[in-house]
Amino acid sequence: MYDFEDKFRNMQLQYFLLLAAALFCIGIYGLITSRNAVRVLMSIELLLNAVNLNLMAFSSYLDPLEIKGQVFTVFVITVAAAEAAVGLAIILAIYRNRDTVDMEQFNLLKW
Amino acid sequence: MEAIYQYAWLVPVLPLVGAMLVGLGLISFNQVTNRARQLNAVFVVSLLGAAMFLSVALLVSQFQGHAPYIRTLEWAAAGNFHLTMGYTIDHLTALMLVIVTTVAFLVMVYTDGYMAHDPGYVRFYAYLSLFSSSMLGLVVSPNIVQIYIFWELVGMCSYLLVGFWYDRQAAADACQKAFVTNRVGDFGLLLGILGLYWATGSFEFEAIGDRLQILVETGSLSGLLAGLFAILVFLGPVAKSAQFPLHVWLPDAMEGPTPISALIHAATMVAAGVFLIARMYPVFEGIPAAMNVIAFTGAFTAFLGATIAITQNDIKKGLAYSTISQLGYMVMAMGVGAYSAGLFHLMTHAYFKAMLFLGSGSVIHGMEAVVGHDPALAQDMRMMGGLRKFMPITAITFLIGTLAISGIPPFAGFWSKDEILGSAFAANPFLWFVGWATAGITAFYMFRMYFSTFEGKFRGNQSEIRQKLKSAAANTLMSPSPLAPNFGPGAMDTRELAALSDDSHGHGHSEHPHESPRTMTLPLIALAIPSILIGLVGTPYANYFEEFIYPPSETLAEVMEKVAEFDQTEFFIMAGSSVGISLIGITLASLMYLFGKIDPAAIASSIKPLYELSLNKWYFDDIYHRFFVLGSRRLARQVMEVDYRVVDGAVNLTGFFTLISGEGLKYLENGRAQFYALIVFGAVLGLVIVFGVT
Amino acid sequence: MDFANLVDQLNAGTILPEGIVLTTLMVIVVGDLIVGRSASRWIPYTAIAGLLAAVVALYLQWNNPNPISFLGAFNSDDLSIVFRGIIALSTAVTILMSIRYIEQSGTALAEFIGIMLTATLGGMFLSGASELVTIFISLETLSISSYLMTGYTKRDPRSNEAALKYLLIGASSTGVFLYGVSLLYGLSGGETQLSAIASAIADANLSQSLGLVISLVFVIAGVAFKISAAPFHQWTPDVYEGSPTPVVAFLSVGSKAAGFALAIRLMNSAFPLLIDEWQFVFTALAVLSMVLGNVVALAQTSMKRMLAYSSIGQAGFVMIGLIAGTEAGYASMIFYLLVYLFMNLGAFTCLILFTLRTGTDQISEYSGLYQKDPLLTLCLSICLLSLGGIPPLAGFFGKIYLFWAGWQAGQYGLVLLGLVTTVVSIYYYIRVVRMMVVKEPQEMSDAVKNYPEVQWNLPGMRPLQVGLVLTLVATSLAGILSNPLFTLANSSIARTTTLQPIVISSHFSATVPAENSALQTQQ
Repeated sequence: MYDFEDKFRNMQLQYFLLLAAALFCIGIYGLITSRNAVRVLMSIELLLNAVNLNLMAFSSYLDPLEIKGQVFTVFVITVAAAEAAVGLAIILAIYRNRDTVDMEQFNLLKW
Repeated sequence: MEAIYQYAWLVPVLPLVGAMLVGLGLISFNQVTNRARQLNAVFVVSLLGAAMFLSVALLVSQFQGHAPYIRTLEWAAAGNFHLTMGYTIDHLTALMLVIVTTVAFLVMVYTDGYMAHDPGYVRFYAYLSLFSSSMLGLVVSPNIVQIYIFWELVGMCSYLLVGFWYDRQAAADACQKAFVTNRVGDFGLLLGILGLYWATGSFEFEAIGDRLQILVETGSLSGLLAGLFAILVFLGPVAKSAQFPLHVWLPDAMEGPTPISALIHAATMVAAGVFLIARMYPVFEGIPAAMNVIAFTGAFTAFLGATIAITQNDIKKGLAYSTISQLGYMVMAMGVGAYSAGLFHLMTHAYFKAMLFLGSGSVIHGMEAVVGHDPALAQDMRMMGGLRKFMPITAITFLIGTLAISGIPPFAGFWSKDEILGSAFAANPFLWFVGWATAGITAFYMFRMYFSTFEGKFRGNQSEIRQKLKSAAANTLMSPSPLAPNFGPGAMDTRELAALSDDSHGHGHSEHPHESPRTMTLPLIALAIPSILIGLVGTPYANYFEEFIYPPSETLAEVMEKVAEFDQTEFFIMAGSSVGISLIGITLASLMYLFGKIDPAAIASSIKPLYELSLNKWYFDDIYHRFFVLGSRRLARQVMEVDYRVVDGAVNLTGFFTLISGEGLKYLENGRAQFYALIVFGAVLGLVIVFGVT
Repeated sequence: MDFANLVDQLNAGTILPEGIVLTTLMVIVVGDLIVGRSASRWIPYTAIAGLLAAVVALYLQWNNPNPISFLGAFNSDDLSIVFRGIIALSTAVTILMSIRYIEQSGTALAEFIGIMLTATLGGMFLSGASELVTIFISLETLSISSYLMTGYTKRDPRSNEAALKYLLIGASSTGVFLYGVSLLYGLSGGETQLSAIASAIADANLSQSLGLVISLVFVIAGVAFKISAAPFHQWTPDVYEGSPTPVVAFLSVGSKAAGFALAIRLMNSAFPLLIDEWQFVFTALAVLSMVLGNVVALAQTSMKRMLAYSSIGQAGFVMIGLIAGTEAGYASMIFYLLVYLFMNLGAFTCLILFTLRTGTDQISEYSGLYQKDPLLTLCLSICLLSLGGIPPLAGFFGKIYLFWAGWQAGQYGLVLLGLVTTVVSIYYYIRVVRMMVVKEPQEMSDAVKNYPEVQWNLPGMRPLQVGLVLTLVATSLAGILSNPLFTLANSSIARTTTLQPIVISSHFSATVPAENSALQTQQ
């Protein structure tokens, strides 16, 4: 157990940040290319999770006493849940009216 | 006593409140407001009455020697640039306040009778009130910027009111002409204000004058430039007070309803130019060249107006030219340094000219009963004659006004005109001569007007004259096509117009004109009193006026000294000569138009070129039309042809390019949310890259 | 006793205005629950009363000697008070205009007002937030409520679509913003308070690191989304067109003001060392916003869409004040936002009125309106001309002040561009005015021909009228009597301590980069 924690400490901060950055980029990719609106919402969750990862990493490496980053993460998760709920509600409403969740179809408003 | 000064701001604000409330009522509850005609009128008039009482109280307090009162508050401040606004009450202001409020009050009372049948009755009161408010605001302004703002407001009200009957083609044209002519002057004024601010860094009258003086003396500002600024500022009064060469708009402005002509284009607004010269006196005083320009402009205008007035047949046009001529007197007085004489004439003229105009309105009102609502007939003196029998009150008051303007003692005009002529003689005998000759002409044309309107026998039912006038009117109109009612902005709806024409049928075609209703005659009588008596405050024996109003550069002691220097014989010579020439004018007029001993037509044909010159207003309208209107059109066409491909192309291209790029760029909004997200991420990435590279 | 102690320690009195809004919100939600549908008669007025009470409470807190509260998470200085006042007022006016609109659309009024008050709460907290978590939470409170309001007319597919677009773009820019914030948290060594972040960055001498610049750009992206600055503006026209008009009014004023408050505080407190960088970014945004907003507005046919682009352009103008970075610059921003509050809300009130009466918002349908409804024409003309910056009106003084401040600060290019684009903007504002006023009767549009008789006594119309007259009077008087507003804006800046260091740090940063570049050349 002690060994693991030691290893963890020896892992450099960069790896976490790189992972977070990669997750963020995947999120962006999914956000832009998905045709299904629900998948787009999921991609947004990826973006936020990348942020969470960042915050957690910084919190444990740089701010282990006050762990403000961890608190921040809790808030981000909560807000993300609220956002997802609202997002799903909107998608539900749009599905009722249009019978589709295809992003390509949603261009009534343009120009 | 302090309290009335603290609440002096109410003087311009009260009419404003009236205008706002009635205006709001008109906008939101049109029919209800229009139905409550008298109620609105009483409301507006009583507000103005309150303002009038306050003004009188202020005048009394000033006369008792209360110190001038200034209250300003910072309006806009940014860094070291401060713009204040507020109000100032000094002798000049108090005097002007009383003049404006009393004349406006009486004109409003008069309006009730004059506009009784007009569908725009309530709207007219709203405009009148707005005008009074702007004019009072102009008068109390403590600095030149505020004056400029109110100056424009006053002008705007004037256009609104000139074009009040916008469905008349002539009114619409006149309104446009007034607008363009005034624009020339206002532009000069604005340039002048900016130039003076640039030179002196101040908008206060005294400060500008003092600093300009110092700057010129120390040589840091060339006298030429100072003169240029002064003359640019003077351009404002030239346009507003209808001085040569920008006088052409005033006669046309008589297309507006007569109460407007009386209030705005005779008594108050046109005097604003003279008021501005008085306010800017510290600036002009130190620049002799500017003073000379002012004096000669005034003198020439006085002569010009009088000569044109001789041959006018339209009663209002005649009075308009007489106004131009009298304004010329005032400006000339300012130019020769007779500050208080000029303002004295402003005051007396305000009363007697307002009365004359209201009298002419009363005449027109009476004539309309016979000839119908046709300005070409109702305002033409050739249709009148013998009206004294039908409208005695109007006739008597008109006679008083005529005597006053002709300078017959002891009527008001005599004292003020005599003072101006005396000062002019001291400054430059040539100016005196012009003024003196003009006085004679004035007496002649005013009595011509009086005799042909009120004496002799009534000609209104002679159908051949009517026919002649009608055909003449048709010929003078450029486009004799039937006037299609023009529904532009501010248009009334057709029902109102129909009501108007119904009126003219039911109203016209009685045998004789009738005396006007009491609301119209009462103001006439009320104005007759100052027209007779007001001159007595400024007699050379006991010149209270001069003690009260004197140039800011002089002290009371100096003024008293000057007054004490009064020379009895000199006064008699001056007064005698001017009364003499007036009497000659009157005699001539009575011979020609009362007794018919001399046939005016014969004289006219014997000096045909001169007669034509006067009848055609010295050809100013034609010259302007040819040179400025046509000339600028031709120039514009040539410029257009030459630069068609260059300038026009460039401008069009820019506009076209803007529109096209707008059209093109809007397709970036293709409605796809994910594309938008892409742009967001792309922009973030782009900015990061920019920073990474640099 | 303990609770009182806690309140005292946290200095919780500073959020009394928010407390009032929150209480109002609770009253409305619970009252609606108990009374039911009929509650909609008093609910809007309760909300307005609560908001006005909050404004009064804000006024009483003016010039608070001890503005820092909640251990540095919330700053109730005069700057935040002005912004919170703007937001609360904008909500109050928006509620006035929404009553009739929401009732006519057949949805529940109480919920709408509840959501709107929540958004207001978020905006107000955002204006004073000076700690990253607080900023995030209040930003999201504002955003999520806005998404809900945008999709409030849920049977209208356009409203649905607007809400979805707003949510997606909003969430992704929140993601970007948060990513930047997380980097900032890390770079500052685990600080979340803005001032602590700034000093930690200064201590670590990080001002040239790429990481910091990345976090700056990411954070600005989040802010720019809220103030709809180009190129983060693309949601604006679609959302404005699709969502209920009162919501648009709130978004264009309240939400935008909150965004500007955030921008001022964040840039000055957290990034004082990167002043050159953030000024550069905002300059780019301002240029793009002014050009894009005003040029594309020319090509619009729908009134709401045109106002959307106009609001993008207006954001560009306001950014000039931010870029100027001087006291006059910030004061001019506040002044302009105050003026903008009235003129823009006035324009939207007119829009709602016209839509309610005719059911359309095409610009061409306005032609000849003067002859049917002079009051509406007058108000809309005044508001649009003021937005365009025509002299005696309030907007003119606002623009002059902004441009003057920009010029003083040496932003000549920006000011000149601002002037040019103002001319462009006048063109499209005047186009509408001309359409309404100058048309002959035969050119009247069909919508105007069938214009119903003006009736103010229908339910919900009275408040609309009140809002209309209020904004009209404010727009026309604020220009002539602008000095109280000037004084308000100036003193709020002068008394705000967080803005003072910028003067020092701008000198400081002028010398620091020289040293840094010297270091870099050594490497």
